[in-house]
Amino acid sequence: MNQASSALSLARHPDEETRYRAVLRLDAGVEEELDELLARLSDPSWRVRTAAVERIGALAEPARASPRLIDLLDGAETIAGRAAAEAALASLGPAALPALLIRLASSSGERRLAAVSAVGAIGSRRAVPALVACLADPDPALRAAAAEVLGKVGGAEAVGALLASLDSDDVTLRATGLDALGALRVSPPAARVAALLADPVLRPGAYRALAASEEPAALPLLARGLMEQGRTARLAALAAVGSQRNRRSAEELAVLAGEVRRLSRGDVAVADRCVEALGSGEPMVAEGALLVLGWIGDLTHAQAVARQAVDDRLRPLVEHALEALPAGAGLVEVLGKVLPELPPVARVSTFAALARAGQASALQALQERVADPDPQVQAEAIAALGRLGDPASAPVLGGLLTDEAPAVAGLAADAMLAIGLRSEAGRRAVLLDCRARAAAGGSGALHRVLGGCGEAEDLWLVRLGLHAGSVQRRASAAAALATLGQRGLLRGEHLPELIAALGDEAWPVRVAAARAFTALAEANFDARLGDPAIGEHPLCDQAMDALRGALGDREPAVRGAAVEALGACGRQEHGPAVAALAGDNAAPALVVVEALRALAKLGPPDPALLERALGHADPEVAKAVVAAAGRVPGEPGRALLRRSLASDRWDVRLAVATAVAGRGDAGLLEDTARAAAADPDPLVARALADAALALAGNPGRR
Amino acid sequence: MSVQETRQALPEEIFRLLRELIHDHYGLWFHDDLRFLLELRLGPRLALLGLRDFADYHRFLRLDPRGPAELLDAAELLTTNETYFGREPEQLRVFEREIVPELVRERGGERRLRLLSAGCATGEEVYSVAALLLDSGRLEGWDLAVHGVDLSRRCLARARAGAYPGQAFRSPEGQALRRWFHLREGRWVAAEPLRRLARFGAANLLHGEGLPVEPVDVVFCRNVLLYFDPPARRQVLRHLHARLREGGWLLLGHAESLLQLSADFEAVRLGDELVFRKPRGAAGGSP
Repeated sequence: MNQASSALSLARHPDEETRYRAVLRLDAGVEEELDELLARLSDPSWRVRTAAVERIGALAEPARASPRLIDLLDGAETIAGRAAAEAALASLGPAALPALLIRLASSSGERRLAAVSAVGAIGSRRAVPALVACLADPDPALRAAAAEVLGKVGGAEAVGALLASLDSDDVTLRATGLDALGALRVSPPAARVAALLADPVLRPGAYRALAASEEPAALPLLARGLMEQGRTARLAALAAVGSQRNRRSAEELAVLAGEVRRLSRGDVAVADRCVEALGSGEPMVAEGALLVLGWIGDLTHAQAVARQAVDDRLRPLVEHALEALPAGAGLVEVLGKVLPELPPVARVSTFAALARAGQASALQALQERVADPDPQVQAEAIAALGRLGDPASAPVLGGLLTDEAPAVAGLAADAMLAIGLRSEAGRRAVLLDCRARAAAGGSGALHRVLGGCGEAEDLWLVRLGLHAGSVQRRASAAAALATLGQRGLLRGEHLPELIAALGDEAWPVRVAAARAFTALAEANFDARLGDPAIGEHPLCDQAMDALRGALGDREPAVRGAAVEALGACGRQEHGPAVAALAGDNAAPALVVVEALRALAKLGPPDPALLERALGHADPEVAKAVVAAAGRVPGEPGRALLRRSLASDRWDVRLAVATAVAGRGDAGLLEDTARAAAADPDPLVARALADAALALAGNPGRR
Repeated sequence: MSVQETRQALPEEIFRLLRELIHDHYGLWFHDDLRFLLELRLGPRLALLGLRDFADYHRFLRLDPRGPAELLDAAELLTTNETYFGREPEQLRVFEREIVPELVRERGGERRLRLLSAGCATGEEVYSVAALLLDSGRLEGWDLAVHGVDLSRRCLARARAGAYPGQAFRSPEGQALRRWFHLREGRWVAAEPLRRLARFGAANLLHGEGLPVEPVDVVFCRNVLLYFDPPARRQVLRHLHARLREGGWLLLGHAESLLQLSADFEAVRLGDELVFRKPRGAAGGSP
């Protein structure tokens, strides 16, 4: 018996493991073995069925199997067999579509339903017209199934049909249409959703649809959703509120918060229901509930909120909610009771709330925990002290700026900066501490704090850091100079130490020095037309020479930072050197991207150069080309953008949408609208559609 | 100043780019709803690295020479979660009552067992399993090792330290394990017999890098697969399958299943628990 016939006979062996191994040896390209594989799709063992699906999926000519698989969609004896046939069709991909589309016209409702489901498993847009036609099928189950599949496949035509389905008389179709739009992250107009909310069956889907809405009118609808008596609808509204938090500005959210407060004053159960929703196990629901509880600001629920800090994902939201509660003796009493039952990390959040409420011992507890042996507790305590902004914490945090663990020193620097930027008293406390420590030696984190909230008199301390023995300290001193420059504290200064740092033996120092020059150039950009000899140019001549020299640095990161600095100076004379880097397709993407961005600052770039850069292998370069092409006038710029619209990378096409919208060129209207209708990515399709609307003179949606 | 005001916004497109980057390197997948998690956990990195916004952060990760190290830090920040001793105790009971006796029977000749906690986080599972082995009373004189691997170096440092706050033992099963720990300066420190069994190392489960070279008898991979998308889960399972001895056991979390992921394991019901086993005679996974 040869191997094939052995596998064929063993594929029906009573032992599952033997069948499984035999199926893995079958070749779907051989007719007799394909027959057996199709039969094994109905095997009682899911392992054997899965193996059969895999082997059929490896078939070089899908057309040989697809008609028989389609027959099995409704012909297999068991549900498992039908599901396996569908999985096998999906593994064959779009090649199986033509036969499936024919099946969509079958007179049997069951057959049409199975075919729609299989089309959904394949997920090709070529099926959209046929699926849209199914929305008018006499069978309501088929209509709903087609809507669901359209929600998986997407595209402008699918979205249009789904929006139209919301006006159907069929409530199931309306509900499925809403869910399908939600799956595509498309929100119907708020006015339309408002009408759907009249039907209790549609409410959960309607609130889910509002999660992605950007219309102001969606917010009052969501606020009313919190009053829903039905739990599913209410949780959907809460999850949508949670989603909206990621989409809206603080001002827009303040409007929603105001509406929630107004409604909760009339119905105390709103807050109780939010507490109940915290236990739903759904992160977005919990996020929405915490947000709402923070807005309502009722102390009664403070303990329930504090307990959620156990969940790592929700802890920042818990802190925000606790922060929103009215500080005072009442809060101290309520939170003091819950404290003992919380694990250490969650306790930090509660200490922070208590400290904000004025409890001195809680502030002290946090200050003690910045030395906690548990790194997570330590990190949370440092961050909490930063958020509290109490000047009294500066000495405690200052001690960590020289910590041997960079992450701890970095967190302490963040917290010190937060205190320093919070109030004048905080700034004084931070500077007092940092100056004393810098004089005694300093550290990278210390330089960062001095850069962020230091004064002109601190310049010498930072410049001193450029001579430090440690690479990290030299680099951070250069970065601190950059920050001082960004804050306008350095104007036309000649900084020989910084120029020398461009030749430092350690490349991170050279990168930081070049970036410092970028910051200085940007801060002094308005002086570019002045006289360099008297310090009116953004950078002195010696710095320019050093930066030009750095364009040949062996380290790409230094070349990138140097070309960025030259671009920030805005002087045309640097154009040729920058262009040479931008057009070098063999150069690392980091260098080419920075060169393209620098070129764009020196005026409209050469289209031929951009065309060449499009040949670079890295998509980040393609995006930089697109951004630059937006500034190339006339047909050459359009041609570059059109070509980039055909990119197989969604992020490049999205960059085109941004560039087109910024360019405002009606000559691209038709291309943009066409691309919007065809783009498979919902985010890109929406951005292109918005750009097309803007070009058509109708700003419409944002 | 509130959390809201100080937060850097993470635009949808940059979220997608970051998530794809993390997925490509580590197989971890963050659903759309977890955008806020990336925003909150990675936001502080911007100031630390001197970057203006998340778009700069993505470019830094992609192009800067320091990007790969930062990407690992980012993945760690996104996957570190609080855990405790005695989580999902039913499975540990099945391990103790059903699997250990069978291992004693099967491996009695060689008297050597290797166990793996894949995605061990801060080490609670490794020490719990080590304690169960020692408590069984059947493995005296055996050569035992419990390997704990994780992506996060920060978690591994805590696992190696083996010192936990009292709250980590808050479940009843956890309290029972506490006798294997000594209270030292307010923290419960793993006793020497546990430490002798526990071995920790960094591993990328997606690529199989860092997994123990020698075949293992039991793999605990509980509540780890949920961080991966289906193709990445399949790949992780292939690596675990390759490391398992024939007849070896795979224990997943309660919320996890092999359905649609791998047909290379047999499902075995032990009491109320569903566990998986590498079939005998199975050298590798399916092609």
